[in-house]
Amino acid sequence: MQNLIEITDYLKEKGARFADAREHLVRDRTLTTENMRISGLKEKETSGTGIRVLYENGWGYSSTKDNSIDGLKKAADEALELAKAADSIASETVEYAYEPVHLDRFVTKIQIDPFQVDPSEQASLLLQASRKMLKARDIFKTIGYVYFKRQNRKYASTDGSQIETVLYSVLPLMMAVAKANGDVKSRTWMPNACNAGYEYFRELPFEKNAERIAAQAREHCFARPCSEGKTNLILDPLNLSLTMHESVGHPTELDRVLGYEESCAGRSFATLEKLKNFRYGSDLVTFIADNTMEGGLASYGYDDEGVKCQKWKMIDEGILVDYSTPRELAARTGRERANGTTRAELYNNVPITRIPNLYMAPGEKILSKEQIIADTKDGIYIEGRGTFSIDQMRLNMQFGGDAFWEIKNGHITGMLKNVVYNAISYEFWRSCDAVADAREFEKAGFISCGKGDPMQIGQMTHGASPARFRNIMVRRAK
Amino acid sequence: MKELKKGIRSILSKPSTDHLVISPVQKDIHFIRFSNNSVNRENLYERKVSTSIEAGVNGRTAVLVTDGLYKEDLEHTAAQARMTAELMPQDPEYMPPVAKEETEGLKTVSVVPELIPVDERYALLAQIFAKMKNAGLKASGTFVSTIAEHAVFNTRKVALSHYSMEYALNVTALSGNGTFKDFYYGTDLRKLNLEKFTENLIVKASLASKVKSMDAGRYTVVLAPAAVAELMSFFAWYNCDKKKIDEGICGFSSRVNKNIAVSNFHFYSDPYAEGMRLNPPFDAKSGAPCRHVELIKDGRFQEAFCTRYYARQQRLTPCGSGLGNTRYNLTADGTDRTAEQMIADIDNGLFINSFFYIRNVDEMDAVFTGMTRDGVFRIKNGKIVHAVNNFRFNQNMFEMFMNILDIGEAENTEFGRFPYLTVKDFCLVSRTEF
Repeated sequence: MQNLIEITDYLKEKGARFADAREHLVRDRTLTTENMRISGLKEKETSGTGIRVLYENGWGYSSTKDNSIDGLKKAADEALELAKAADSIASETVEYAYEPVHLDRFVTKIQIDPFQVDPSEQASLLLQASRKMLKARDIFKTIGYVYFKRQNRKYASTDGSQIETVLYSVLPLMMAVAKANGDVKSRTWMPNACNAGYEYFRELPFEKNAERIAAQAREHCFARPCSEGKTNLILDPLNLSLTMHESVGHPTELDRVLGYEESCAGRSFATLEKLKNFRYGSDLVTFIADNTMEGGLASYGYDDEGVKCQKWKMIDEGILVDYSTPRELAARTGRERANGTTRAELYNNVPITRIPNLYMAPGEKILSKEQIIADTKDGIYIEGRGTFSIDQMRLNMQFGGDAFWEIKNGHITGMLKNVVYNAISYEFWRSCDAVADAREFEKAGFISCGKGDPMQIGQMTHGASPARFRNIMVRRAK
Repeated sequence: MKELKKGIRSILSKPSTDHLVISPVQKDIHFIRFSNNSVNRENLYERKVSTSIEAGVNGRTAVLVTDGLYKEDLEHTAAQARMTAELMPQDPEYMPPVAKEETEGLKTVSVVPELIPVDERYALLAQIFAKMKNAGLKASGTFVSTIAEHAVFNTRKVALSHYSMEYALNVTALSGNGTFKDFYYGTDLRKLNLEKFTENLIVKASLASKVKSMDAGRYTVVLAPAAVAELMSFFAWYNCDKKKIDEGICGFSSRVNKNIAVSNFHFYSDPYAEGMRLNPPFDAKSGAPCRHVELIKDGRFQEAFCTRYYARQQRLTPCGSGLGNTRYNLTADGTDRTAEQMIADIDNGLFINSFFYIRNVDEMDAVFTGMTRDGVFRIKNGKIVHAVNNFRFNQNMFEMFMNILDIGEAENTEFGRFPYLTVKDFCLVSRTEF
């Protein structure tokens, strides 16, 4: 930490308006199985320090693997040189929001460090489930996957903050692929990816779910194709997690809203004049951002600008009320402080605005998924994540799913296949007319959200209770 | 890299196992990102060094990756890789490292390339910003200058190294809610005609500012090289793996001996093709040589990518290490027909500059979805007449290959070198108005 403090002081002396330094050590392990074979085991370690400088109105960033004072000074000089070059052609004034000084340490609560566990033991859990799936009829391929990550971060800034964090993340997944009736279909079990230790992975009910997804993968091959046209959709939390990620999470990133992401990730329809008056969803739709959520993948304690993680409403009873806001842009929405959503993947990445842990609040009335289905004359119930695509303004969205069931007169009548739904995002959320209560709330983590240029992978947790959406266009995915 | 190579040679001179593959990659990248005519996003140097070490012991393997720069880092990682491999079960698809003889004849570059000075890069952007500002437009994009070195060393005497470089300039001009994007990918910035480049951006972005509504439907479209490249890259990823084809789980599976494209559409992968820039002519992890792989020729599927193991098992000619690296050597032949000549032949259609967020919808029929982006224009009586709203497409790629009416000039894109294509009945299923 001392070297980081020294280097930010050095930059201050050289005329930087603001500077921060982040030492970052990341270790990750990816284990994949295909049928009864371990098809991949890869471990990676990345470490170094990133230095960010604001000189007048220009930002510069550089990074180094050399954490000695000399190494850091060299990187600091480079970052300053780039900041000056950017300032020389800058046409905007940077207002960098205030943040109190933090001296703190934040650690994910875990019992077992996954890197202390033999990978072959980890693989055996996946292989046991695989064996079970392969015994099922018409299953010809299985995939198992687990990803573990440990991050050790140290942060110091010219504000005077000194923060240390240690984070552990886990992403498990397994899939069965069936070939029958002239078709090939898969079914995936994707338990919540979260910040947790090895004990979380070890306790997951792999075998129980192996049987279920193998049977459903086969059933999927015999399913009827869906009819095209408008219908009612009941979406499970995992399916909703992807839909909310793309159509609420990204459009409410303030850097997009203000055009800064135009060339890559795109902009947003949720522009500033809509703040506090735009009907984004029905009265039942409330979205809460919560980077203090225990086990949330974006629960970092502090973000990479030294801002303490927070909880706030993004959409309140259908109305857009806030954004994910970095310090540089906070003043544009009248905020005094940023809300702690700026993160970098590795030491050599610039911190960028990221989707927070974001969930749709459960319904306040006592209501179960079964009751919603019973109350639906015609519709489709969708589970899991499938194909996904949305335009650069985050308006025209099309999503699939992992499994689909037809609903007729309040009952599930059989499985469907090749379903995609297509809508304009705010029209979709406005059509929500039922949300199950908190008993059915589930979290669903993301560990592969791409943004930035150079591309960075981000992580965050979403959540929802099953919900119904009226009159949504459904197409046949063929 | 010098220090690293020294360490690698030292490890390989006394290897702890007869199966060690050490593959370092170094990338020196200067990344300038801009928006609203200002350098206000990522503005950085990125020096990435990453070394992958694969250790094998009695048919068991493990891969560990380190970004350490010194001999001690490599020794530690190699020891860990060996220990981890010992813990693993035997791999039924075990392959020994690539032998030196297999890599003979590879054409690698051993001279370190040079980039233009840093201040010239900012000066180039300043010129673009000034022109955009004068035209009342906002420029956003990236200017990335990269030098890379890929190397592979192993216990079977392979010692490969390859230098490459690239300038990637992407500029999106924004006028109101209308946008138009153009780019330069190449190794010689003198080939970028800045006047022509900015003029095209200004004309097209200005045109894009006044959008007329148009319904979704099936249209004859002229797809610009960026749009074609994005589609073909996704198509290859899902459909051009030999094992998947043989397993019957992708689009080519049921179409191996069928006519699937017009006869003059030639799609292939070639590490030495014009337009390949940052890839070595060998698989960056194993050192397995990449080769020319015919994918679609004479209207039919020809061959596909496969892993070294699958090539041996099926007695196929090896082609690198499956889709991984080879995917980026994709190219399709162009002609000398200009975009203007292609447009002149169309009475009623659309010009699509690029796509966004392409995703697989149905793997068995190679149906993809995505959005048009940064330039959609109506073509009437052989001329571009105005901009139209953006569309979502859901398109069966095999149907598209059969519906190619015209092939134009090829350009370097992010994903390889691809031509303009005129395609009839392109399936646009819904629209968006911003």
